Amino acid sequence: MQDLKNDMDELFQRAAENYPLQPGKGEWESIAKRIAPAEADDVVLLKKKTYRKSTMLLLILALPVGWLLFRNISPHSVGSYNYSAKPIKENSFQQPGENNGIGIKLKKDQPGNNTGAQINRYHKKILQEGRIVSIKLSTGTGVEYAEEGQSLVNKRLNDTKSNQEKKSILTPVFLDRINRGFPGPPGVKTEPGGSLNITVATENKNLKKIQGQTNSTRPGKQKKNVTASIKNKSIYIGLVAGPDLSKVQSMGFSTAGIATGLIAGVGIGKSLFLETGVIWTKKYYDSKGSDFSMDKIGSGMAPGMIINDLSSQSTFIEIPVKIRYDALRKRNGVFFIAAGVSAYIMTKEKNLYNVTMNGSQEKMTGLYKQYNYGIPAIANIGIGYQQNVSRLLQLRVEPVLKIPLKGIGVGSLPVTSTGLQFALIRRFK
Amino acid sequence: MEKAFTIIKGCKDGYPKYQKIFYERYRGAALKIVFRYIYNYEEALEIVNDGFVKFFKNIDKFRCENDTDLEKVLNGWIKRIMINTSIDLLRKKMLLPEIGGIPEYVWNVEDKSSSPDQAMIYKDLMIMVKQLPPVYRIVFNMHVIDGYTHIEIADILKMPVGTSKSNLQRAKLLMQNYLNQREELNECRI
Repeated sequence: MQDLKNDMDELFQRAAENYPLQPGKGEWESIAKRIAPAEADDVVLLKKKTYRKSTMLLLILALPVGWLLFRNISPHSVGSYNYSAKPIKENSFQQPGENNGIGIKLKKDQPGNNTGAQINRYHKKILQEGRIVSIKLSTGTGVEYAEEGQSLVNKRLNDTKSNQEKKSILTPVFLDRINRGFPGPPGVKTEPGGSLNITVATENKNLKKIQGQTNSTRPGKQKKNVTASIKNKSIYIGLVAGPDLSKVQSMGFSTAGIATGLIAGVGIGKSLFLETGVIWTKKYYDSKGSDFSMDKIGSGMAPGMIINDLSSQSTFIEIPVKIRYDALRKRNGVFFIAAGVSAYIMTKEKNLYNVTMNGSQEKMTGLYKQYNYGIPAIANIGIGYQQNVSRLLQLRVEPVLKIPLKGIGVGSLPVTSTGLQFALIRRFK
Repeated sequence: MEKAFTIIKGCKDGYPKYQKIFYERYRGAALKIVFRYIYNYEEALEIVNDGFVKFFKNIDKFRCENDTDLEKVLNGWIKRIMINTSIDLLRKKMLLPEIGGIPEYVWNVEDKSSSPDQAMIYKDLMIMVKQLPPVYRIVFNMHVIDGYTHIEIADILKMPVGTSKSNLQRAKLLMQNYLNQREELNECRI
């Protein structure tokens, strides 16, 4: 018997010496860094000083860069639409009450054409290619200027003026860019076949739909149509972060996790956007043993072992693709709904199992670092509000719900998540 | 090939070249020790690196009067560091048993140091050792494979000598069960 024991010990000793194990890749560089001799205090001090100086220098350099990025941001003007396709023609003059804010009327400033309060005339004040310009809006008795980026939608001229004048509704038309084919300063000359990029404010809901016709009802004059199509070509990127609460089936929510990353979107329709991103997510969730599938790790389990429940901590990289629809525009923001699917790459999963083995309750841990992925694995639904901070910067708050389409991780757990995503978004034209 | 004495001297003098040579030469053996204690392969790789950092930071304390015994003493020193570092991690994890299979990629199937059959047997034996609950695994490894006495084990694990002995008995019983199950399976296949 003693010999058998000795043989067994010897067998294990030989096995320990000779078992075939992959040596793995050495990480000498990381070790070399860790064992590098500690630097003298004066060297550390010098490094700190250099670091401070570098930070200051970077900040100083960042200021002009920031100015370049945000110089065109105006606090009021929030919408940008491209009007093109059909020619924008000049109406020579209009009858009172016409074109009350539904069309674009541009004409050269010609003395004599101004027939008093009956005509709303628009001409440019300053015109500079590539920049927002101011438009002078004039009536017979009063002159009002729409300054750069300012909105005058539906603004009545002055309460003290006559009732007739009160009916004159000013249409804000801020010229953003004069395309080729138009002469430069000093006059705005709208020629057939040309196009204008026009930035409009969103206070007047009608202006979102600037399109259709501007009619001249002058007797004997041919009806002139001005048609402008709206194309939403905006692109945006943003930083997103927020808490993440996850649960599996009937189990309650566990500790709050976190989701943070980058998003990017592009306009694909008048109010539609296609949005994607890369979101790093850390989730915590508890689940019952019955929800845990043994398919992937069954071979590593001890025979007769039953998982009662488990607590998981997982790290994902999530790649969402979703459609956003701007449902309701407000003065300085928009309510939207979004829906889509996400693929995920699981980078780490750590499970703490409560198991029953040989009739006794035990705790076990499992660490899984092999990448596990699913395409698509999660359906996303969100409703949110996007507030304009400036012309190109927006803040977004979006409660989201993530519904599993597939099981996640080694146990293929159906993890449902919810959370509140905050995003800072930079829009590009 | 550099002699162990030259390498140790270079390491003591802080030459990165010799430190790297030392690391490359002993890394494989160190991993084989650590992987017997630590269930997860990636964690074992990290423990090996931590162990080497400890080694290089404390190399001044390394003494060997006799050059002929240098290799032996050095191996013993490395082994002790690696085992202690592994036990530290297992303690941090409250000696909780691990779950999940051992992926196939960790085994070096092209290892020519032993015949394929032998290699498979050794591999299976090591899987059995790794499947032991952590406390049994530590005691079994330390006593049966690494040659520690129960007094030493009790001292390191801060437990009574009797507990160390009983843990070893239970570990061996479990190993015997595993071996029997394996034999039964083989008979069924035949």
